Amino acid sequence: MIARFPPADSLRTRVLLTTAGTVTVIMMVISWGILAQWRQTIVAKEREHAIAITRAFSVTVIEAMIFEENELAQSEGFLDNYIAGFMRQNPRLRYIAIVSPDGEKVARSLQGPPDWGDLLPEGMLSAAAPVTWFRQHDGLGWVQEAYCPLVTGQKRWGGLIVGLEAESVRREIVRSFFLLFGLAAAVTGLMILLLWVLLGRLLGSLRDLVRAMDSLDLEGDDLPNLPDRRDEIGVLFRHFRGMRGRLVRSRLELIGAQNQIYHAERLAAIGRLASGIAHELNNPINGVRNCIYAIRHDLENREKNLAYLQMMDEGMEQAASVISKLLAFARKQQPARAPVGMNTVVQTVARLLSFDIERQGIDLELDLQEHLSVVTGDSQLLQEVVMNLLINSIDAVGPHGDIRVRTRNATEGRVDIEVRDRGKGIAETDLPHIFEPFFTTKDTGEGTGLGLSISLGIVQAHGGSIGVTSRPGVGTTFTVTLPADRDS
Amino acid sequence: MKRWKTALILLAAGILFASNALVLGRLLDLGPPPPPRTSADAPLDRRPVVRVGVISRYAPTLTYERYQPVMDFLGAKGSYRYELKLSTTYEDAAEQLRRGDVVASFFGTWIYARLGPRLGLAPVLAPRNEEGGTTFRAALIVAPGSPLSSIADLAGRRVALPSRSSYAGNWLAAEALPAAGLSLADLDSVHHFDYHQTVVHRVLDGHFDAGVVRETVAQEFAGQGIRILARSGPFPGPPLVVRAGHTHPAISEMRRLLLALDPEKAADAALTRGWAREFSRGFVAVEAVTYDPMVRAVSRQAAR
Repeated sequence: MIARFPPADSLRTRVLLTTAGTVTVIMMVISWGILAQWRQTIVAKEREHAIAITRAFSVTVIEAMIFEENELAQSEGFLDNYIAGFMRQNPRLRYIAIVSPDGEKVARSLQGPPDWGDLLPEGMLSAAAPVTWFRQHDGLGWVQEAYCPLVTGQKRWGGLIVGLEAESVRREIVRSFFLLFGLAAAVTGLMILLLWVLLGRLLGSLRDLVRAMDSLDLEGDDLPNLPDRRDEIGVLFRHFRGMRGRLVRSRLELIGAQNQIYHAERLAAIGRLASGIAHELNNPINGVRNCIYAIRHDLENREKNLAYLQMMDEGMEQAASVISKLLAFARKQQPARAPVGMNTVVQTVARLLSFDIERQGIDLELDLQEHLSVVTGDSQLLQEVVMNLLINSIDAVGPHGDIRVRTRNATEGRVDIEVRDRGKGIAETDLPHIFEPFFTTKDTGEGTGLGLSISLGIVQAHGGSIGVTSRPGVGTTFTVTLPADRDS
Repeated sequence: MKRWKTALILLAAGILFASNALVLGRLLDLGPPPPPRTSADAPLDRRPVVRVGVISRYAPTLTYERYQPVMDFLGAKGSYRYELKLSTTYEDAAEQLRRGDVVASFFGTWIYARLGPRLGLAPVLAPRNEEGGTTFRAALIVAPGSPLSSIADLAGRRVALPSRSSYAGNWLAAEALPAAGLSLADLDSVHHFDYHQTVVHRVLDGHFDAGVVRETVAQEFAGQGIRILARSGPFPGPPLVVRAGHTHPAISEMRRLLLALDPEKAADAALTRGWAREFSRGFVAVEAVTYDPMVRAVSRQAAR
């Protein structure tokens, strides 16, 4: 099962957003630069156009002014006719004005700006060459004006002012802007689409890898179904397959080592039990010997001998029971997976250790929950776990100590087995190491340092965990948590 | 968290939109007028005006372009403000002199010879030619690639001529054609144009097979491939004339300033480069006697 993310949190979305943002900013800046250049070209072209028109018309105007000054004109008002004719030929012309050297208007078009008096900027009359500029007029919008001094040699005839509509210039700039904007958006969109597809393919490969990891089976021979690729993803797949091989080998080695450790620890536990068992057997054997002795001294007393024989039988039965239990514990059996009642496990272990507990006068309290959910596992291994914990508690509390074993149905379908003692506790510096193999605080010969390590391995193999809390001088609590059988 | 991200995306989109709107607005603002490039402020010229007449042998704008620099030079060096006064006919120019509208006038050689002595006009200056003298020539020109090679080839051809009141406009009929055994009647057509430049243009554009202009004008169009078939004999250059006996101080000032021009000096050569081509070598002083042969020739032609 592959985890699903909210779209905003997915790697694809974040990469796309970051890339889209960066690309958009870059494209925007580039577009602005190009647009500024285009605008400059458009405006420069318009300026040249306006100057060319003005220069062309200025020749006619100068000639007309020469005619007028030299009284060569055939008719009056021909400047006005020239202006009207020139405006008809150039639809973009909005107005024309001709001024004398002192700025007085000599002639002008019928159409024009609302304020003719403000037409010529300050100082423009003395301009040495044609000048153009843009301005906004009420009713006319943006207009490009061009001023051309009318000069022959050093003789100044005046000046020619031509107004050309410039709204088309602005429209061309707007067209350029949206053209570039569209191009930039298309390029950005294309890049994002490409990135989307590439990321989809990359993440698809990662999802394949995740599926393979989820379905990783170290016990079976099935290899993960990952395609052969000749890129970095292919390298990742190959390394994953290699890692699986190493894990399988490590697991087999670990199982072998664990089995040996289990057996050694079992033998150690048996040794631990030996003294108690010896005592368990010694009592019935002494009883039987006492009975045999009594019978020998009074063979004729049939009634009394029958009673002694009955006592001997009971003693032997008790001894046989003890031996049977010992054999059952020491026998190395194949791990089984069957429903196990942890209350029974606790009670069994308590009985096995009862001699040691009673001998030291330890107060063992069993707080076992009724209707405790069963767990699925190997009862022998789970007994070993409880026994290790209980033995550690016995060692920790010493004579006349206080131990409590409690079982509970925990939340989320789990079962807790809690072993709490009021013993000497575990030093804070030792706590991180207590589950390490061969780590022990007991005297030499009293412990192998494998009990907790083995117990943790068993519990984890059952899908559970072991928690520990301890305060030096106060006591220690081990909590084994196991998954409950779903059917229970 | 999700709301925060949404707000961030909206903020980014807003900034994107606003910045683009700002840029577009800035681009569409075509701006205030640029500061004008101003020429040096000249003080108001309050000096008395002296008008100098010019018979417009060229288009008026062209005439101004060629003669106004002479006025600018005189105004800059002299004590008067010199202004041109154009006239379209030689008769008008003579009348302006007589009335005193102008103190001097640039005349054509032929019209001076025809009218000058009769109207009491006196030549004072004439352009200097390449050799330092004051004579010029008329030239018969054809377009590049023309099959014509001599005046005799003009029979049955279209010929463009300058004004009837110029020496060049009369030379062909009066001297060149008779010398080649032809007359105007032998030509296909003859047309007189007001300006020498127009004659060259019409020959170049193929409307006419040949034309007659002053040699200096033909030289201006040498780059266009104009070919000269024949030249007239030398005739005195177009004079600057005044009323005989008129002693306006501006006349002597003009004589002094224009005679001082030395085409060998780089500064003067640069100065006269934009003037009418015949003035590029400066001026020489002339007297009425210089034009006597031309006066007699014109009289003979008029008598015929």
